[in-house]
Amino acid sequence: MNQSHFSFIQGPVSPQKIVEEIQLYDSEKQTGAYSLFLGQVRSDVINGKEVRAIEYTTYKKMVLKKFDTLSTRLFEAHDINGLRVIHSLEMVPCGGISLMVLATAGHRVAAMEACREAVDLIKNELPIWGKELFEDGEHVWKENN
Amino acid sequence: MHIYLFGILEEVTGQKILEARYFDSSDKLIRSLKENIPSLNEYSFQVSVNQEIVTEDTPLTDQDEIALLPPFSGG
Repeated sequence: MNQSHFSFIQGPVSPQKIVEEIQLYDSEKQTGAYSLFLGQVRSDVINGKEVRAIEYTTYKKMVLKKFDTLSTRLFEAHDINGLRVIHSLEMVPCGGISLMVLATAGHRVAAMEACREAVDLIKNELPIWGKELFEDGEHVWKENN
Repeated sequence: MHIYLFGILEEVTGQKILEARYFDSSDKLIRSLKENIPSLNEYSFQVSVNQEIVTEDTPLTDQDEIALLPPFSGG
């Protein structure tokens, strides 16, 4: 199994898919800790209107290139043995999972720190855009803080 | 040159890819694009050359892949 892996999925990440990702490590006997982050589309209220879904688009070629650099940095900084990321594209309704980050390590601290850092890097440095859609058909472009 | 637009920039220009004549530096290219497409002046964006973000004026070849990247909002 590759040490790090990034994939896009059309629509929400299903619970079944997340289970399958965890099961990939069943045979990795050096793994003692998993840290899993799931990002879910939240029903924010913006200017009195409720968000019903987010539509994601990306610059895929750049994401894959940047992810290689980011994961190299994370493997150098933390004693982890695996990093797997799934991000949604297209429409994810509120309550749907749009991001999964799974870091594995021999011990918990490395897994948790790498997972947290990976989430921040993914949100800040990967060219992915979310359009928040309202019930009335209007939308706004999301911006990460 | 092909310039790829994303997110809100694709929406406001109605174009995914812009065709521009060759400029030998990123600053010259961006200046020309902003003159020809005034709506680009209303939005903040970063520029990438061959999938790397550039923050200073950068020499260009006519084979370079340029993209205009509005603020990211993945996750």
